[in-house]
Amino acid sequence: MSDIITKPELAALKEGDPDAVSRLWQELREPSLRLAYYYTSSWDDAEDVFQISILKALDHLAQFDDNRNFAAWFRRILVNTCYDWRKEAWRRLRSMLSDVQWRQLSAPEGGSVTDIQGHIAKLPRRMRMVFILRDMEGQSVREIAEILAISEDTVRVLSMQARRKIREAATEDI
Amino acid sequence: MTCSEIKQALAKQFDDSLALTITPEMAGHVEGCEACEAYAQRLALLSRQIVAHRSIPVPSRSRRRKARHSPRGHWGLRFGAALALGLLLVTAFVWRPGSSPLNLAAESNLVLTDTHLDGEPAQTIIYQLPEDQNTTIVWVYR
Repeated sequence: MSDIITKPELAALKEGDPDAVSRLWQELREPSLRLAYYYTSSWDDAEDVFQISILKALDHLAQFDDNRNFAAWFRRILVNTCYDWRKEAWRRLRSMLSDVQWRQLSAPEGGSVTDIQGHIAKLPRRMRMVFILRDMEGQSVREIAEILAISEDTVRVLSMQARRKIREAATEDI
Repeated sequence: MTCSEIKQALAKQFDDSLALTITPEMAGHVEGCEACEAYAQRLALLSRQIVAHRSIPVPSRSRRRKARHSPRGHWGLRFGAALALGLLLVTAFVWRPGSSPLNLAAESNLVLTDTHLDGEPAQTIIYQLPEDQNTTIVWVYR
């Protein structure tokens, strides 16, 4: 995976150079927002996920090994923040609903999402992330395995299952 | 090839690569079979939707803010609420002689910003800003 950040730039970031932070922000914002949107189905939530991720990355920058791939490291933070966002979103929703409403609720569906986004939203957590990284982001099986800390075989299996589920959902009336 | 074989082959292609290729062997059947043709078209559409979704543009913050505050879907509710409140106030003035904004304010959570009031108002105007939860009521005296 080609990296998005050079070693001098990384050094500037570690020294807290605000221009370097700003450049990093610009560099990461669009692809990160898109990935988070695919996961959360909301641009506002995607923005929150991105901002939390970048703050986490800056917080832990001192521990980042310069020989590692920064893009993959940040992707991993972003993915974990997406997972946490989902837990937090459900926790908040649960606290707002009565037991009856909670039982009636099956899966979160945004009213404005496209069909394909709706299908993605219904996939289980890890399968969804594999689908997003592979089929929306175009990352290789090896890269996804590294980001999600799972084996390449697991990535392949989850990818096939995700595609199958989306296909079945889209053709259930035929 | 049978319908089941065609569907299986198309599904496998989709699951393997998200792409579809109708081989000459399949074509003969698909062209004459409505169900298989519909299935192939649906998968091809799904494949195109996924590809199109990859380059979904990231909206700017201002566009998102604008969309969030879009009055669509809320105006009816707000207008209804304002109308109901207006009717309530009018009813209060009509059916409760002696009521005035001062009395009403004392009985509710209304905050009066101008207390140069004398008698009952000739007109009541209620308006609500689209991005504001507060309702402003203006009493007109003649």
